[in-house]
Amino acid sequence: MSKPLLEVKNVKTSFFSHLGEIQAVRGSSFMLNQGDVLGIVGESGSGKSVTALSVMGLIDEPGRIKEGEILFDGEDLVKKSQSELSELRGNEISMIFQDPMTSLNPVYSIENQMVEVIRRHNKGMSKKLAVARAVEMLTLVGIPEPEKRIKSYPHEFSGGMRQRVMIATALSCGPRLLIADEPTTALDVTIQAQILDLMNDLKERVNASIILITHDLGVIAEICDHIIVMYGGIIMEKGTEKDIFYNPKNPYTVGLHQSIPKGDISGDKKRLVPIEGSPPDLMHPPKGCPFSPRCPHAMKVCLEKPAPMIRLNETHTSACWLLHEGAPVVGQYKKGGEILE
Amino acid sequence: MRNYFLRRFIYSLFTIFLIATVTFFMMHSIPGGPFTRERPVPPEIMRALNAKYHLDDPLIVQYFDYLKGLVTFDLGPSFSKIGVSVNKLIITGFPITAKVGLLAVILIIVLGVPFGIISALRQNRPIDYIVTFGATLGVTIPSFVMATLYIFFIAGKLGLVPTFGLKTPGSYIGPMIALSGYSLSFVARLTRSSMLEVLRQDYIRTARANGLKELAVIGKHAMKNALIPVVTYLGPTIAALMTGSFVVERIFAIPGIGRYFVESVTNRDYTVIIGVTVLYAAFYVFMVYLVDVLYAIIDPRIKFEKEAG
Amino acid sequence: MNVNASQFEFATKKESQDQEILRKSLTYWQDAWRRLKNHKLAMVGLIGVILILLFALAGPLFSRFSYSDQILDYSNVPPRMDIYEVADDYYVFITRDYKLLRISEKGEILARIFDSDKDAINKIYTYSDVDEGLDIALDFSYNLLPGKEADYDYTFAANGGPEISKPYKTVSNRTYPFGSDGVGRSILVRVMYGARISLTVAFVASIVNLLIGVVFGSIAAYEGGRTDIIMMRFVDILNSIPLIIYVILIMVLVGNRGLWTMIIALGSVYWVTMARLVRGQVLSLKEQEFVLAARALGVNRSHIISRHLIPNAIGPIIISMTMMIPSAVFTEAFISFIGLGVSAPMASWGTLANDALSGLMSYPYQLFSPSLAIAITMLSFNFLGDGLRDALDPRLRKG
Ligand SMILES: Nc1ncnc2c1ncn2[C@@H]1O[C@H](COP(=O)(O)OP(=O)(O)O)[C@@H](O)[C@H]1O
Ligand code: SF4
Ligand SMILES: [Mg+2]
Repeated sequence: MSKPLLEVKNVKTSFFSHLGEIQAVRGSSFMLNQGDVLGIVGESGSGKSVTALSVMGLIDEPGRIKEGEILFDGEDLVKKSQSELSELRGNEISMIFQDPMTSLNPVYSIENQMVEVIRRHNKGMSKKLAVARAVEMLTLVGIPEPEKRIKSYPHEFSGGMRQRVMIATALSCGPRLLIADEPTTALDVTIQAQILDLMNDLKERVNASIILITHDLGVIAEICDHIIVMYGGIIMEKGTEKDIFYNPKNPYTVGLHQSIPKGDISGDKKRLVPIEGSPPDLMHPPKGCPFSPRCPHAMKVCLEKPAPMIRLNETHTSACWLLHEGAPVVGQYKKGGEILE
Repeated sequence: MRNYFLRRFIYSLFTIFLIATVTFFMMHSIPGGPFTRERPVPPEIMRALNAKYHLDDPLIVQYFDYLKGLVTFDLGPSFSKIGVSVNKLIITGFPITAKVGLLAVILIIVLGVPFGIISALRQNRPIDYIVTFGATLGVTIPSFVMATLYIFFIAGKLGLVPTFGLKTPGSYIGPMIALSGYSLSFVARLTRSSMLEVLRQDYIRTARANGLKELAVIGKHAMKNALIPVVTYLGPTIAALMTGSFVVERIFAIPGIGRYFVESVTNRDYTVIIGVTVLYAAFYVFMVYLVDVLYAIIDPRIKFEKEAG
Repeated sequence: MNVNASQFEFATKKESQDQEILRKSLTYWQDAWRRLKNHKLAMVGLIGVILILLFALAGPLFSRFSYSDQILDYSNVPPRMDIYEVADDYYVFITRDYKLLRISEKGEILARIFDSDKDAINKIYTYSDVDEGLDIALDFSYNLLPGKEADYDYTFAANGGPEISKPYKTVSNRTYPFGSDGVGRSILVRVMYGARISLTVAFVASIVNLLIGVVFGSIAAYEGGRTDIIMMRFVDILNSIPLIIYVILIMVLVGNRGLWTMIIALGSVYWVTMARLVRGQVLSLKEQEFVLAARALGVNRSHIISRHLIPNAIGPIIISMTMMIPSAVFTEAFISFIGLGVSAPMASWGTLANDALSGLMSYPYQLFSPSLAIAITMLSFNFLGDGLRDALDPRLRKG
């Protein structure tokens, strides 16, 4: 097996506000192989965006990556300077954001913004070629009449169209990794489905690995090869799509499942059971498992010590005390597995 | 787009017309005529004066005469400076005022905007504190205090420049500082806060995520957006500065239009009051119009929304 | 990993939830106050505002002068005086207009000593204190007449005794802590009363602005449609007019230069911003109510109003008020300074500054006090306003 495209090792990122340290990501490790699609799910505030921005090197003041390594193609991004990173961004690694309405600069035309990015990473390319490339990308993401529409300003596009423009720009320099941070959250349900279809389609056609971030498990079914479940700044469970959807081994993942409406879109809303309580205050995170204040199976040990990462099989790991030898038997949480630490 | 500019232009003309009308009737509703003085004027002289200046015509006739005068740029004679026309006063006073005002405007733009930007880019660093502190002082000290402090120390105690008048190049410094102090500080603060606001925007993160160089992120993407509110503020401010400040002209004894205005107010010289008010207002309205035009050029969203609405 | 078996007992609900640090759910105002308290400059501003109000309201009670008490003999006395000991325990101070004053060692003005002879050619004036039997000669020819270069400007000599060229010491003026003006009124007291005028004008004018703005803005927003368009067009027109001129014209029009004229002039002109703000808020409230009705089932209605609606509307209005007050102080000072303000014997800070202008070179302290008062007021309100903006801004609440 070739070496992974991206390897995140024990990354910790904090924001040092004047009220104290907000530990947004508290030791996150995962990897992504060439051509794979990785999903990251978790309620809002779990540290998904901060994880992604850490990879991009876009953590703003007063934030800082405290420790850990982010190996992209074997090189540690944490050690790179901003100007070195800017050569990679938009070129090797691209990112699109949650709110397409505000993510494009309102005072420049689409053409201006796309051409700027393309020529930034293709030194010496003529403007004409760059425009042609931009038009090609717009066609790829399904913008009708791209030659004409490229002259428009962002406000002349709908939200869904703007997100397509964002995707087109992000892919315009042929990146090897695309990070999509909640690309559909701000959109209407029907548009959401279209954008997801587009992502699914692009997955086959472009040669990029994708990290797809969402707070909605429903969104990432069928697109992702692997899924990470994050909560309170740590990774709770990690596995293939099948592991996470059909064989979840963490109470938090199960909670997430219960909180999404099952069945079709018109399905009965009453089955939606939100997880009681609210995410932890990351300035004063719980000593033990971050989910323990809300977990229906919390044990005394959960309040005291962080749960160990337990490997269930080749692909599937979960951080939960229930999987520990000594724990009482509860429902589907079959014990056993190798304790990693 | 052209439609929009045309419509704004017609609004501006209409506004000037309204101002002229309101000012006219305001001045004519003041009890007592312009020749009412503490010492009573003999009735026959009063009558002669009123006839000479057509003050005995019905108000509505006076009003149309006045509008006709406005259209032909004839603002009538001054009542207190006998033999001097309002046009003459404006022609002598305005260039002086405008010259000092223009210098102040230049000072504001070349200092205020860069200071604001530097301060925003170095938020919470020493340079930011210095700029913010200076700018806060600048908006809290009235221009007359600044002017008098300047005269007292620089002109008086140190004797570096003359205390009043505009005879030497150095004597422009005081009026420039006093005139621009507030707006300079305000522009610096506005630019800073606007820049900070823009730097938090999602599209700036997008620009960075697309790998643009920091220079392009700031100089291109942030700058244009950040300057929109600054331009909006600058328009009327330029108008206000170019038409002078009553205070600064009074303190530095500058024979500009602002001084004539204050004099005319104390002398109840109605034609001058009306004439200068309309001139001020017209200039101001014109600058506001210019800002609207500029605004539409900078920000493509404007045409769209206003055209639709 | 060794874990004691007893630790695998289930935790009770209480145990689980107790570890959540008591994150008290603060009401909007508690939260805002907490943020304001943490904002150092805002607290400086708040204390400044309180002190200024105390100064204006309570200050005059502790003073033996009223704002119009004149002692012509004690005119133009500065706050700091170089006193000379011309006889045993007999101290004098000479003003810049050559009035000789007897001063106590502590700095109280005891009496004026009148001149008995003025030799303007040789620049020697003689002052006589009959009660004490003292003739004091003031020789101020130094540095004025040729051949009399010295490092002092004048000397005293009592009853033909030796010339005293060195001040005994510099004392603070106990009688007039901020000095006295050209007709012998206490500047401190004048500035205190000036504060009442300036602040009354500013507060009342701002409230008038607020009322007009709220009424105008909410009618426009509620009526909507054509009414809204016409009203807002009117606001647009007002906004493209140099308003200061209209304030001046109104002052001219009303004629009498009372407090109310000034309040009317300022209050009737500067409400445009407030009207826009209120209209915007009301419009968004209308929308929110609609959204809430559709969505928020089961959420306590009064909770929504107190937690979301009111804060959104009140915050910007309070901030705008805090900013309006100093700008009204400013405008009032400006108008008074060009001689169109509240008329004598009342005096606002602007009037005081204007009065001091003619004597600037000789008596700069007369300008200093009212100017400082204006600057401190402006600073305090500005700091407080900035802090309030941070504290009340709903967008920043999470942070
Ligand atoms: N710029 C910032 N300053 C301070 N705290 C931040 C900042 N960005 C994120 N955080 C905090 O980090 C935590 C994780 O945020 P985030 O990664 O955005 O969550 P999500 O999983 O919803 O994407 C949150 O508690 C948030 O308050
Ligand atoms: S470790 Fe304990 S609290 Fe955390 S998820 Fe597992 S059972 Fe629940
Ligand atoms: Mg997020």
